[in-house]
Amino acid sequence: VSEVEPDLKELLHRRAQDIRIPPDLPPPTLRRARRRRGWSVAFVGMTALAMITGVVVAFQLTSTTSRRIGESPSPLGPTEPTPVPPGTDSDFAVPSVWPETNLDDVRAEQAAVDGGADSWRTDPTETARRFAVSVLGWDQAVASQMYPDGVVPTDDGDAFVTAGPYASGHGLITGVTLDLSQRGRRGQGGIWSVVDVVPDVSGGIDLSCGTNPLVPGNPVTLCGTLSLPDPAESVRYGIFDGNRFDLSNFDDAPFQGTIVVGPDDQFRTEMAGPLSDQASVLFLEVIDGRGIVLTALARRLSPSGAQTSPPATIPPATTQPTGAPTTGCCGDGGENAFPGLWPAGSVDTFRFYEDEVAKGNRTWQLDASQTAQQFVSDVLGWPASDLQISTVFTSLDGSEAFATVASATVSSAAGVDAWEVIDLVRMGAPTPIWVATGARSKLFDVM
Amino acid sequence: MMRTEVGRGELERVSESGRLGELYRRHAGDAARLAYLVTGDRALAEDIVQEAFVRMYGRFRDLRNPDAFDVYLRRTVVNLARSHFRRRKVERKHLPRVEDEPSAEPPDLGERERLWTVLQSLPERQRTAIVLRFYEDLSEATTAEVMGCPVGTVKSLVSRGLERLRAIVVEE
Repeated sequence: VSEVEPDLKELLHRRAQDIRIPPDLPPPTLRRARRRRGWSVAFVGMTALAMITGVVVAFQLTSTTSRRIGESPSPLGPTEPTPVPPGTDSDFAVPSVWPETNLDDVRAEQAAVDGGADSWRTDPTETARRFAVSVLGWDQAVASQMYPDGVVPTDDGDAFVTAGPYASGHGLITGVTLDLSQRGRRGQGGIWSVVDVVPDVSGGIDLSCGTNPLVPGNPVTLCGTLSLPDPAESVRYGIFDGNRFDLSNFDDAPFQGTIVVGPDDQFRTEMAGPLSDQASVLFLEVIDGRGIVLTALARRLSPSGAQTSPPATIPPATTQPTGAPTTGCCGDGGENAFPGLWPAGSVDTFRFYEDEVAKGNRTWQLDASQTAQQFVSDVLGWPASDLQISTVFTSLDGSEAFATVASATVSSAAGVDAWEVIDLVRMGAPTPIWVATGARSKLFDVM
Repeated sequence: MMRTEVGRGELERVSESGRLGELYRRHAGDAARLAYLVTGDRALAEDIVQEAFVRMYGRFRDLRNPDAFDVYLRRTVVNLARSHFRRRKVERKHLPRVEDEPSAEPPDLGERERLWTVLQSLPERQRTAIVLRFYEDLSEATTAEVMGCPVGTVKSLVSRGLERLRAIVVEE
């Protein structure tokens, strides 16, 4: 390499002399700068007002939600911070999607940070902001922790950060919510990595249109429906392989391309060739007519073996009269192993609802998002008419999902969204129904 | 290269518009050269510099270290160039494909001109890292700071870029 460097330096310095610009600031540039500043001041003022209001409302909601959830069985209640050993989710092929995508690089970066480099990696908000700049191209990105008091939630070892572009001059853009985790070392000094990316609460990407969208070995069908406040023109996608790739470089992905979004906000493409067993991350960017990324989604894919299991099934009532679940239905077969919490917390209750659905009642349990909406309405008391389902993610085999539900009333009145993440599982035969298995309360201000 | 120092006191003496004009006179040339080396396009480089100063206007008071104006400006230029390339990539995907025209470059390019051509063909991030390291003479840590990525990524980007440039030289 050394023989290139002198020529390279000389070339760069010589080429740099090729460009000349006006010696003084052009008047049109100054006028644009003043206009832009006016917008910025207005935006900052509105944001500050929203945040102040948000803190007040968020505390009220926190106390309300905690009290209500505290009455539920313990898995729904607030969890105590627990030390988690460093490592990764064994369910996924990669520990994180940015900046590092494998544990060796995570450890090396942790060592570098311990040695004084990249101090921003110990700050989840700054890490999120830089993701927005580097990967999404939002050069004026803003990021804020979803918890108004700035305390990083430690119940699941993760931090959730919303990020959006600097709105002035660009119009409103949806933004993203980033799930970050400390993969190198938990606690003080541990570096944060982006683990998953989802659209923020004001919009969503529903990928549930495909019957079997991303199963290794099968042809790849990628399709979905957008529900965003901003008009989208295209969806750029990449399905990355292995554990060494750069999310900002779609050329790294064996499957990658751009899909034009239809007038019905739907998109669909079928790719040639089967999905690789090495497929590890699906990354989508929703882009508007100006080429600006509106929002994004990064989903880590499970190792191939975990993607082909059929939906969980529950044995017929005749073989399970007392409610003790069996393996394959409800976990390990223990007395309290039934995974559902709501509306069914036991096999008996589940069968009752299963029968009801079979009779044509409670058909909302056939749909994950409707089940999630019903949950926040019945359990948390949020007005059903004001709910927004922002995101529904379904596992590759269709047996699990999580949905984010927002209260539109709170959002529009105070600039604060109350956001609940509902975990669901789909069980039963011949017609599986959805049951909530857990819920997490998320409160944050909206930029 | 961006080396001119502007002190805090100097920043406070003049009006904000005056500041912008003064900072433009001091830094715009360096910023334009950086933008040109990163983009390879003179007109685009000029546009990026104008946009960078538009964005810096009104943010002087927010700068944690006004003496480091050149650092902020450099970062803004790099980010704007990056945004441009991302937009262009999307636009190209939507444009109808046209037949590639024969290259306008003469076939007997000198080695350095070939180096320039290859440099421009590198992925944008590799090119940016190389320009920051070998033109701006920034350290790996500072380059990482400007690009908003870890130091390890900068090492990788520079290494890959140089590897490709070296391959061209060896071919000759």
